Amino acid sequence: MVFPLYYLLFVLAGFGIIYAIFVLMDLYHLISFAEMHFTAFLMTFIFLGGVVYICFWGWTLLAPLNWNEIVSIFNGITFNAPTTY
Amino acid sequence: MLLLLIKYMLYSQVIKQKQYEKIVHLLRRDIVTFIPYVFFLIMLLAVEVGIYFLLKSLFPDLFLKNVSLAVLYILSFIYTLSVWLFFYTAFVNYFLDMWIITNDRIVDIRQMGLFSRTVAELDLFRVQDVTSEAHGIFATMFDFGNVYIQTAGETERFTFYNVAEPHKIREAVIRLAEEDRKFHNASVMQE
Repeated sequence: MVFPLYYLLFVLAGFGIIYAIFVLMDLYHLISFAEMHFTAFLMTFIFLGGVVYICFWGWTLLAPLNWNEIVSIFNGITFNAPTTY
Repeated sequence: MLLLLIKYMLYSQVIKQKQYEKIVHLLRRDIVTFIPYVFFLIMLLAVEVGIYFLLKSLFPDLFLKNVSLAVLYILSFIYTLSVWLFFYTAFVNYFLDMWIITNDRIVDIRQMGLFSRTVAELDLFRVQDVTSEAHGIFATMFDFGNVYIQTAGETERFTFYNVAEPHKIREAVIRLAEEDRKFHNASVMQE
């Protein structure tokens, strides 16, 4: 199987979508079912700040990599019957 | 718009407070019971750092190849974000679990995960028996524990889990139930 390395970023994008849904669910719950409260604001601020920091940290690690590199894995595996004896 | 949002977010709106009703106590689990989650978060992040150093010492080649680096970084990125979200969700669960005691009823609101929420109500005049307990060293030191409320003719109990000052809460519930019973009996007599 041969594919460019940037295909792995699609996995990250999928995770990002699920992550965003979960974060929005949490925020929706807080907004819907709790009174405006300093603790909730503080924790939400810390959480979102942490997410931004982790994303920045991830970006500094991932950005320098060569994402156009062609990856070749499982090349020894074949489902074809051998043709030569 | 903001004022509308603030109005919508009031606890009185959450419990649909009646006109004659006053919120007497708003209880959550004691903040001390949230501290284990903080330690758990630190432990999970420490595991990640531990795995990093372990891999670096056992398989240094992994950190030299472009492909393996990409996989490792993506995995660690996903792991860190997941742990961070787990911590925040634990906080939301903690924060949204609450018991509201008014002069008319008790509202039990339980948030169980992101997709499960239970709201139960109990009229104060139905309260028959209230028990408070604080078990263990930490519960005694920091004065938190459970309060069990038994109603007439029902086997199921209302439970306030790990609330601060459980014995004072028990006394308050008994007093409020007594007052509400008098009020309820008087209104029944009038009818």
